[in-house]
Amino acid sequence: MYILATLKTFLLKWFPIFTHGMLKPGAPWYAWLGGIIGDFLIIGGILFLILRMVPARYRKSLIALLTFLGGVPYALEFFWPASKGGDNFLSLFVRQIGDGTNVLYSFALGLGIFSLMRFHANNLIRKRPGWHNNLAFFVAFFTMMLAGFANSVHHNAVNSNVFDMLFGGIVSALGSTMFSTIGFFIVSAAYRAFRIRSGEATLMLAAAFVVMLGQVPVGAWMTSGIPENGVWANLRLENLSYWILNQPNMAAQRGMYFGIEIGALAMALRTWLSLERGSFFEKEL
Amino acid sequence: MTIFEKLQHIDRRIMYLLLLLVIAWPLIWGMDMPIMVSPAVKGVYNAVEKMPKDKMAIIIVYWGSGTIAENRPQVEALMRHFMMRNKRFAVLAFDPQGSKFSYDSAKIISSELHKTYGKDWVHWGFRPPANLIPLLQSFPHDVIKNIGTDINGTPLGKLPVMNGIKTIKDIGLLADTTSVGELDYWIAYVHGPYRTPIVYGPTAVMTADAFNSLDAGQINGLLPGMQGAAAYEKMLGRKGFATKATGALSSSHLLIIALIILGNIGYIITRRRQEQQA
Amino acid sequence: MNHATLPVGMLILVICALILFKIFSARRGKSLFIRRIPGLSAIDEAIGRATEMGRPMMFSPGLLGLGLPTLQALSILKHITTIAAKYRTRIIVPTCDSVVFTIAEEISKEAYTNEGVPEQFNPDDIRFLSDDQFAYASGCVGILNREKVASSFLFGYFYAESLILAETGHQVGAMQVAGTPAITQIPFFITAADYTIIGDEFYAASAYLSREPTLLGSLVGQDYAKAVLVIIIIAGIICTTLAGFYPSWHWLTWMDWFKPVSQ
Repeated sequence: MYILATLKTFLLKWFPIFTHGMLKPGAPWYAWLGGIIGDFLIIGGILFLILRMVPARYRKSLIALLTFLGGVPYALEFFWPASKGGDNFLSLFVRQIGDGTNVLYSFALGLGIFSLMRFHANNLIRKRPGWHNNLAFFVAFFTMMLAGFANSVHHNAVNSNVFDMLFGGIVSALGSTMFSTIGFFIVSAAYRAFRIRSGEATLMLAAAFVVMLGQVPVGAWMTSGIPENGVWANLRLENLSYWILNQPNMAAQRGMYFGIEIGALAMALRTWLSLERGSFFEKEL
Repeated sequence: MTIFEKLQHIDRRIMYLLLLLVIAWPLIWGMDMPIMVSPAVKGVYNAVEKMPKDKMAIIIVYWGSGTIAENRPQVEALMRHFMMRNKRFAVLAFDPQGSKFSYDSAKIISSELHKTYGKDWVHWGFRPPANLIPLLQSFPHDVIKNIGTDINGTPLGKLPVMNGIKTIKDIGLLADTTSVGELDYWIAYVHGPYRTPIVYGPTAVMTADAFNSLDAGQINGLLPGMQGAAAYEKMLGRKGFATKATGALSSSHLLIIALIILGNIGYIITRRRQEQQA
Repeated sequence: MNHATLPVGMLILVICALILFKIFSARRGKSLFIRRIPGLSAIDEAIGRATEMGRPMMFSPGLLGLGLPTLQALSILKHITTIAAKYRTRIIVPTCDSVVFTIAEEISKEAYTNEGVPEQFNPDDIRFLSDDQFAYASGCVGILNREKVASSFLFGYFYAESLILAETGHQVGAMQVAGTPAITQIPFFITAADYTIIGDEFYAASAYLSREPTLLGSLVGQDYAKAVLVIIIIAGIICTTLAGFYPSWHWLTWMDWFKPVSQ
């Protein structure tokens, strides 16, 4: 419901071409659908026509200009001083554009589902090895979808139990199972990786032991003989571990963050100003 | 292959079986271990204690079944603490599974502590993660209007627990329990401009990252995974799942250390022999 | 909403100006040096390995939607797919986001077309698996095992599934190159992958692989920006320490200017 409400606000505010007349409170679903499709066709059509009408050598410049203009409100909104309420004149606009982007993004989910269907249908029709797994996909997909719809349209004890059984009994359990495999993988990965091959590796191993033990009660138990207060308390494993996490670890992380965030800023700048061309596609538009 | 070479290449299936045993043993038969409370956990406790009673806390649930063992004890301990001190709280979930789990937990704890839904606490239900930033942006203007209804579809305006809660300035504490790591958004949109105190409950693996924010004063406290929840349970004086599971945490860590030591013994002795032969 | 204060805004503008200045000076033909990054050099080796073994490769662009880390991952995908198309080596790209899926499909299609072998492009190799974290991870694990992948590339933003992917890759004997800006996941990649690209090396990847003047210039600009930040930090440490000793010198606490303004 939230997505529909957001979609309505967004379309009414910024794309009132079709939707203004059709999407009134209480409008039937086909009016909604018609309004949305109409808006997409008109806006998409206008953009497509403009792109076709512009001579080929100016197309890249036009796209660069549109990209730049698209980013301007975000940049301005961030740099423009805010009033006492925390907003400036662009805040509402940016929020609603963000809502609209979310809505448009959710439409793209259909492409993903289409890809899944195509892949599994191909394997199933051609009876490729393991085709029964592809069949299992369709069974699971439609069972879960039907159970979800049934539960939301007719919310009764039977539908609710079926949905809970599928969701809590299978989907959640599968999620937990996959996550728990990390515990096993950590054992084999740590066993293989922590070898004293050099001085640095030895230091790393010692730090890892202190942090591992300091994070669990057995570490506290191992050094429980050391007084809890005074200078010697620094040698307790939980305090050593806390120090490693809070001092050297944090210094290293902050150093990395500076590099990562400046890298991200540079990439954002290149994308915004269309200096990144050629990184993804090479063909002429 | 000598015994020392074998020590370097222990079959992973043996390691997995050993891990299964050392985790199952303490969970089934119990294993009491002393639990130490770190300053980070004390920070969470103190933040809840200091929250004014006329304000409301929000518990963010951004985790699902995968990290339920780590995040649910954190949420339960926080809920228990709020209810023990008669402080209002709302739960907001960004994961559909987490929404259900947290609602079930809150119902059990509230019946145990004789609290009433809608008066002492409220569950705002699940919101898609894509709505996180739009919601954060709307909180300074009108919380009730932008959240709309609770998990059961009741308009928030009709619930007494929401009396006097209008904007983010009426929120006294934000407790973020997560397996995703969206803390930066809460800091940028809530703590930065409005100075709303934040406490953080990440999974253990995300803990190292959180010390930056703790040190910078952007968060008031930190619950590092299940161990953090166990320490919090100790401060509340009630043994929950996290306390019971600390034995399994300890034994599994000890197994990893033992395996690493064995691997290194094999590695060092084999290398020495090779050097002597050379 | 959070807005830039005057000092923060000025700092960001200075950083942007430095990056743009170096980009445009690089475009004018100034030669720039970039150090060797072993992880990125290993990409060609991993592709060669898969080609020799006659087995496919897998490229995971991470779990994030179309954000900056994913855009960077896609630019690396373009490089890998171009070489894969040249050597007629299959590359499987499982995605967890339908928009990323669409772009990855276009990138692959174009790479095969540019190499003159459009018929080699198999749309089934670019797959949308699921937007659920562990469903996606289990799908990737399935691909790694079933397809007997020879090389695995993990570039993008990862969460807890990083170790599942990397360790499974190790178990099937794949050569693995991984890179992520997610600091908490870097240790997992270091333990399980053959080569790991750490921190800002991830954002240097496209410059390193393409040697485009624009990207190299940007990289040098980033280094200048880091130098500015280091100077500010050192000056801040000195001033804050002095302010601690001499409380009357309030002006020394100028670091507070960078704090956000309370509403």
